[in-house]
Amino acid sequence: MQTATEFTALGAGNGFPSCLTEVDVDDYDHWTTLSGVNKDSPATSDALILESLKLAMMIYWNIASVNCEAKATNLTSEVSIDGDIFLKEPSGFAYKNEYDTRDSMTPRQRVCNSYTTIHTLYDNSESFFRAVRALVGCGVVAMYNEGEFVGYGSGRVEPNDGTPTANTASVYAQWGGYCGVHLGGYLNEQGSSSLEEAYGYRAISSNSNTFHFCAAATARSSTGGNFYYDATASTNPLAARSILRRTTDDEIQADAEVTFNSIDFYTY
Amino acid sequence: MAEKPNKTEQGRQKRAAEKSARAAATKGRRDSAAAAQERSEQRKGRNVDEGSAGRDASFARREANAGLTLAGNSTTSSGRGGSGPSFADREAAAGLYLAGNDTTSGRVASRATNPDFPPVGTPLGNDDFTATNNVGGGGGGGGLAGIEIIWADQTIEFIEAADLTDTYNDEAYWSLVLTVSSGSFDKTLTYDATPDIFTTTGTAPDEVQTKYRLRLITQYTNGDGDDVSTGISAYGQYREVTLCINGSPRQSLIKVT
Repeated sequence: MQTATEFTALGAGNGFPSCLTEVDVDDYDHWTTLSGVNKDSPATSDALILESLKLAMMIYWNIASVNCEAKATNLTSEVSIDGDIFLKEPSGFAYKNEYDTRDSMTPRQRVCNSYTTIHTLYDNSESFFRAVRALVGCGVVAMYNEGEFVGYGSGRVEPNDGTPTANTASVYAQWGGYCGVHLGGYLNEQGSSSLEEAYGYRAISSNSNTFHFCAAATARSSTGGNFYYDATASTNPLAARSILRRTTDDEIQADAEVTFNSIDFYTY
Repeated sequence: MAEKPNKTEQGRQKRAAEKSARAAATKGRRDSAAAAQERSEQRKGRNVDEGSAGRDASFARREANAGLTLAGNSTTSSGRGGSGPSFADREAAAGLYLAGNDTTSGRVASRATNPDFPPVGTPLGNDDFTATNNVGGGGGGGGLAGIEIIWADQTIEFIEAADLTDTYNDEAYWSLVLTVSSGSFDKTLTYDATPDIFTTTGTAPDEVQTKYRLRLITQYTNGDGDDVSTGISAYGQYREVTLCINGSPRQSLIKVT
């Protein structure tokens, strides 16, 4: 549990340092505000909008870390992440060694924050295609459904993208196959014949708050030649795995696996 | 046939012409300076001779130019807040009124001629002052005799100065209280003597804001160790905003003019 210094910020007068991006979420396959107004249950209210504002401010100002696991291996070598991934200063992409030397981005520092995520590449020493990554983000947007403001939500999820956008959490692993899990506010399904895909809504509780997200899990599943991918993906628990096996005897050649565990917030 | 001047003679004639032109220019600058000096002395004489009447006239002229003169709003007689004390009252309260030191008639002139004490004032040119008796009033500038609130829905509400302290009864603190409902002000206005800026229910992180207070009268400890309650320069225009306090929203007012 991280403890922050108390602060007050005027920002743009809307609870954030700047005007939020407005998103027409009815263009997407899945969307939800942080208070749970979603594509399946789109009726909103002042109370639900207020609740989503409170939760969005909690994410923007107070998110500290995401706890997750990611492992990629060929059974003789391995790259992995296991534990808390912190939002750090300066924000942006960082390799493991650089990431480890950075300080956490405290809530006060976010008054001037213009880039809202950080993700880490822990180890790509074997190859660029043998890596694990994790993202924790504080990006939030204002959501509109059929022109009506319905509340605040997390950013967009790119389910099969190794470079996630400003959503709240992503974990990605690649070695032979690839897989990823994501939490965000809105997304489109991939609909790929070479992917095992799972999508749904997840309520994540932390510090007595309940945050509503779109969850996505994808894993490479194509077959062909002497190898095939044994893929699994689920949104609860939020996990995905893509195992590369030899066709003749099912022997594992490589294994990529990711799991999301929890979100942690600063307290005062 | 006239003799053609040689080069030496040509140079001499040219220099003479240039000298004549420089002399004419110098005389023109002297005439301008003399005129400016005359105008300056006329201004000084008006300040000294006209005394307080001249000062009031000067204020009235400046404020009329600024479009601030309204029927029934004599800023020089009762302060821009409308209910405040006179200049003499304020200066007496601030210890500025001494025998032989009629500051309202001579201060502008004396400041203007003392390089160690240059004139200072509001954008309108008025001398600054501390409105120690002017409960809830402005400290010069602003122009509003009350508080104007621009709500989140862009509607506007004006609260007259007299209403702000209508029920005040010498409490240590006095605030305009705005009620918060569903995350925004519901435009209900009351007054109370509670010093807290915000009132919330529940405990963090599930606190819910129910009230915001705009302080009108506050209390401080003066140099003698006495607790003193005094008005805050609160008149002006305010806008409803959402503040972030430790990552939680708080409805508030921010002064915009």
